[in-house]
Amino acid sequence: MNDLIERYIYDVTKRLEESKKKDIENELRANIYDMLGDDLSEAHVVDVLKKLGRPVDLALEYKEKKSYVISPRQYDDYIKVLKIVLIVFIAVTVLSGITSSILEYSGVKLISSLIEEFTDGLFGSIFFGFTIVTVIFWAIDQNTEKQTEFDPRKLPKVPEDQTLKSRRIEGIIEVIMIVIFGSMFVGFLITNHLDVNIQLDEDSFYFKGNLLNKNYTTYLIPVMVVSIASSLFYSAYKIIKTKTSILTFAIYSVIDFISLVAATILTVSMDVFNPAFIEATATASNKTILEITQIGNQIVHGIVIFVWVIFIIEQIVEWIKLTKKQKRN
Amino acid sequence: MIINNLEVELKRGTQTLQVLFLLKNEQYGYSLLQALEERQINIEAGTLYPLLRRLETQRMLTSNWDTSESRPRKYYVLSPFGEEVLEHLIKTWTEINDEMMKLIKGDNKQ
Repeated sequence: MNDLIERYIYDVTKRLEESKKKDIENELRANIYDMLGDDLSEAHVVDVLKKLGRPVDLALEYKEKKSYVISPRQYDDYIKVLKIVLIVFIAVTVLSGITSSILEYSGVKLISSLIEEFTDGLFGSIFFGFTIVTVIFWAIDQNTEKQTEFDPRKLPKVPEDQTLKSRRIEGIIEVIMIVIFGSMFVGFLITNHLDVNIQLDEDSFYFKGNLLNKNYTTYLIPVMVVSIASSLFYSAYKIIKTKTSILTFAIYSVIDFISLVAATILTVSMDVFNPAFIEATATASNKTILEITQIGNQIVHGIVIFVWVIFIIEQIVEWIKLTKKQKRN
Repeated sequence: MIINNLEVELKRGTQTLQVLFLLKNEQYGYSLLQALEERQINIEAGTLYPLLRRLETQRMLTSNWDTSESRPRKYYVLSPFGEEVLEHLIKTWTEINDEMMKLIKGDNKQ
């Protein structure tokens, strides 16, 4: 019978802080034997242990400070952000899976490749998204725990359009997206490696090596890091202050503008692609090196124009929002 | 079910007061549980023992182990700070009770 009692005590105390284990163990043992009296039969022991309740519940009662990864006060926001991030991740994984499978395989191989991409890629990206969101919320939780006094004057204003997501959630989603896609892009620039096998009708094109010109990536990486860092600070500011000010947006805009100008100058004035890649593509597509270079430049210039358009739209939308808010206040 | 939950919630607030009151005299965990049961105060063993520990951590109780018997027992008694807290809680309880009685009687008159 002692075995049941000791197993019960162990199951309770293993969940407790080390410094309290021995004390609670002694207390619990004394209480159990008092409750048992002289009847140490198995049935009575079971009855007494049932009265004390499940070990996990009793341990929870003994814990003075409840421990959470995400506290209840953050939980609703956490679930909202997690849903959005997972939807984006799943969409990106599915699209990239389909694209890479179609480019590399055909027929039965294509189907098996699609299944492989979906199972491996999907589980991987769901796990990655879940981890990133949880870590960011855990960090926010640790930070907000330190804020002691509640100041009603710091409450965010009720948005005119109730369907709009709060600035805070907007900021959290932005941080997650910037961290993930920013690190992926910088990671791609650093590794700068392409291992591609493209099926063109009957011909197969295989290239392994640097995709981009090394000189170009050496200059572009610090520019991108500055741009990503400024976006991160701006989004983090939105999370902490749950609002944006004209000054912070102006600082962010200036840094982002300078980085974009620098990236544009680098892209326009330097050779973007690795000459070996240009040469291999020309051989595979039966075109001249000049033609391929021109196509490459057109693609790159197209991307630069696209990025500028996005930047201008973002600036206009954000400035309209901020000036409207300023007038209202 | 709803009534039961509300009743449990209502009683939970009074448990600390009841435990502190009965610990004016020294008691060990199980004897206190029995003393509560005798007075038809229903409190689970799994709630009482951790509560005793919390009250001790909050300096409302003092404790000592009696190892003279074959079974060691931990005895609890109200500390001077616990006496102060108890006095305050009894006052609050009396006020709540008076307010409630006034409210109930007042409503009955209408």
